[in-house]
Amino acid sequence: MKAWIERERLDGEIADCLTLVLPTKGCSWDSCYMCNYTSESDRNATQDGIYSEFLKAVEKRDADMVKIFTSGSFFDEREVEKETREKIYRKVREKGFRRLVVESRPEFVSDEIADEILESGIDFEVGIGVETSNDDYRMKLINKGFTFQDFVEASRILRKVGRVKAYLLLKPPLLTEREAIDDILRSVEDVKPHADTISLNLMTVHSGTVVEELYLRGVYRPPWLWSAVEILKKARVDMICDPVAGGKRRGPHNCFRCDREVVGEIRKFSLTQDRSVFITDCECIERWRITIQAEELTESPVFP
Amino acid sequence: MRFRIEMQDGFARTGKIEEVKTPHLIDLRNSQEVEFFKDISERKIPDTAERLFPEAPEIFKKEGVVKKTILKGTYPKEFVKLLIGKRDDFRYPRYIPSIATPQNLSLLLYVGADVVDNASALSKAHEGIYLTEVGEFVLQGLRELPCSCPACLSRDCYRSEYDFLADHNTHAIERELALAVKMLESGRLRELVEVRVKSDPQLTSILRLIDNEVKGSAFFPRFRRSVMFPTSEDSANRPEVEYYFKKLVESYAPASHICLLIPCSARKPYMTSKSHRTLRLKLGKAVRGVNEIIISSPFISPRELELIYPISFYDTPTTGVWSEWEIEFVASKLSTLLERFERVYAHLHGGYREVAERASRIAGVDVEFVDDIGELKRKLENEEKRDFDLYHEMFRHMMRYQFDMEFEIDRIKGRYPNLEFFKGERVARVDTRYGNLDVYGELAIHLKENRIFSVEIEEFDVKGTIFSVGVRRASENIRPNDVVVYHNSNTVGVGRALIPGELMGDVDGKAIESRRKVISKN
Repeated sequence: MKAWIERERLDGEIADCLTLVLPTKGCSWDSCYMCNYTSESDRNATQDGIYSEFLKAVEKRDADMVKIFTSGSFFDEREVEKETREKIYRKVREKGFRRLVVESRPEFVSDEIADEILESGIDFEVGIGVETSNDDYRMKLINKGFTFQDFVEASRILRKVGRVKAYLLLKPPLLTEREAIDDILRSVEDVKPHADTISLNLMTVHSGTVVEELYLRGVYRPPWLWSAVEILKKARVDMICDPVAGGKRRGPHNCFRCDREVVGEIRKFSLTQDRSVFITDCECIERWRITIQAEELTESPVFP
Repeated sequence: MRFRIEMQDGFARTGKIEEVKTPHLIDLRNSQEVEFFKDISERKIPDTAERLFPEAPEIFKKEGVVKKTILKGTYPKEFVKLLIGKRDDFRYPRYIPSIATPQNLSLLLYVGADVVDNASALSKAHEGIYLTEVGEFVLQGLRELPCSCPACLSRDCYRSEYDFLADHNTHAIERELALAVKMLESGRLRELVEVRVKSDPQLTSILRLIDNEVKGSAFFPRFRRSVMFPTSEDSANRPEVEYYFKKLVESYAPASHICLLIPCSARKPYMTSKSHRTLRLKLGKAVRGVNEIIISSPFISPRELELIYPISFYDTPTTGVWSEWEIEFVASKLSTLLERFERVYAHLHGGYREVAERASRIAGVDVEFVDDIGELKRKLENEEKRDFDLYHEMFRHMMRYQFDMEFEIDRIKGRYPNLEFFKGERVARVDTRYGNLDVYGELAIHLKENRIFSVEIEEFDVKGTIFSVGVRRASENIRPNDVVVYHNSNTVGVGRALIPGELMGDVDGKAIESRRKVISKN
């Protein structure tokens, strides 16, 4: 099982966050065009197994908060049963973590779950991959299978008892770089009233996905890091962003020369929300501008 | 927004979108130009993505006059399917985005691109790749630059490798575009295409697949002003070659039952060559009433059709060494003609002879090889022959080939090959520029009345050019460069088609270049 400590924002300060990926049976939706996380799941996962993995991770390390990814939905009974969740809550309280962060699709959020959160007495943050506020994009380009209204409804339930983190996805397939940026800027405005934190996720090309098919044909490219920078600078709201696989060909990237610096600045911004961290300049920014201007004509990425 | 076609040859054409000449290369770095094309272009997702995202097209669909064919990321078979399968509207300019390189540009024009862009030039520059019309180089490995474009001449003035390469690569496409347009205008685009595809197996596959798809298409001219160089096997698959052989089989109706096979000559028409003149002189009267068939590669031609394009308009590499492929190709074509004779003589050596031998086997027709001209003369003299007038037979065959009909004439004048044909007045003459017959007077009226290569036009007074919008109805089998008869209630005239008959009245731009009026009541 993967577990590591990362730095996160917690109530305006920087905190150590124990992050772990619990191998459950995997996401029951499992149909999004960019996702292959089920490859990280375990069809034979048992509830005892899941809990003991969790125990191992939290016993080994000390941290201010804990984040649990299941590569699916934490509140999905098929993945993590209520009994297991209760055991996890007990341990979180016992260890004195100041916050528990989990993820879930909206269909697993209900009034019962809200009660469960309330009764746990834990400062909860639930991440929901709403990806965009545009239903057409979410349904037809991402194949997410739920509507923006579903997200709003889940958020309404959750925010009575905890915090909601909305994940936005920069550059669903087939959008031009410009459309992708505009989509996020619009989505930020739409999501703002329904979320406590907005996390900007930059697309990465995973093997075996529909997005990969486009990528291999040369008609998809992950977003430029410059696009993320533009969004973080422009969005009038607190946003975090962890450019996973940043600077790799299959991850968000610029020209591969300035990538390390820009990824560093994006991480720094996520912790500080300070726009003045963006100081890198590179000649490739001109290529990014051409991309922004021209992709509506070329219908495919200009630069690899 | 207006798109006017100047001329069309196959799928390739020149024209104008407003004041922008096509074919046109968009420089994606130029915002003004990009904005102009964004406004008038449709939006659509790559066709390869439609299968994966069945509901996505409607999200992005935006109508526009400029239609896109998105070929990026396709394999040759898909590439050709997208080009040929969906090409139903020629009224609009076609934009093939993202893939133009100096190497493939002529092929893109050949398949009908009116607009391309320099996306590949830029992305290759980004990767440090230096483009040329026959392949690419890694810039780092080039100690000297094999080019003298403005960018290469001022290489040292560039701050970055990318900026230099972006300029050079774009120049390289621009230069190839200018060359391809000149070749297109002079009817020789195919020559350039064959040279370029040779340097890339994928491009060669695409050309072969396209040749296979367009068989019989009336977009490709039957007559040209340019010389054809059939220098490779791919040349034999040209639409023009394909058409010639099909038409040859249909239209060849020899007047006699005796045939003489002889080799081709470098000089065209064959009969003006020294070798053919000498042979005919030596045979004298013995050759009268004998149908000659000239063997070449990849062509064979009856004497009667030697003035037709491409027979008077090709130059083939002669080495005396025939490849197995050449022998087989030519022999199979010859065999279908041999079946039309009772007696076949041949005066041939080397590869030519092998061709005749094989054709003889295929057709099951005996061929008698005679090396000695004196002996050949005697043998021909001993045959029972019915004399015919060669120039009459040439006219009859050219009429059959060009118009699928025959027409009685009473007199022939002129010095070969500039023959003029009369029925009282002059009704036709050999047009040695295009390798066909130009028509006059009564023959023009006959064509009009039988709706053969005829074009009905609106009621206006014709002055030089007839525009497509002025066409009411045109024969569908009219190809660019065809001699056509246009008419309305006041006028009958003869002209040269500039676009396929199928497009006349449908597209914007020029349709016919008038040569003369035959009847004019104005």
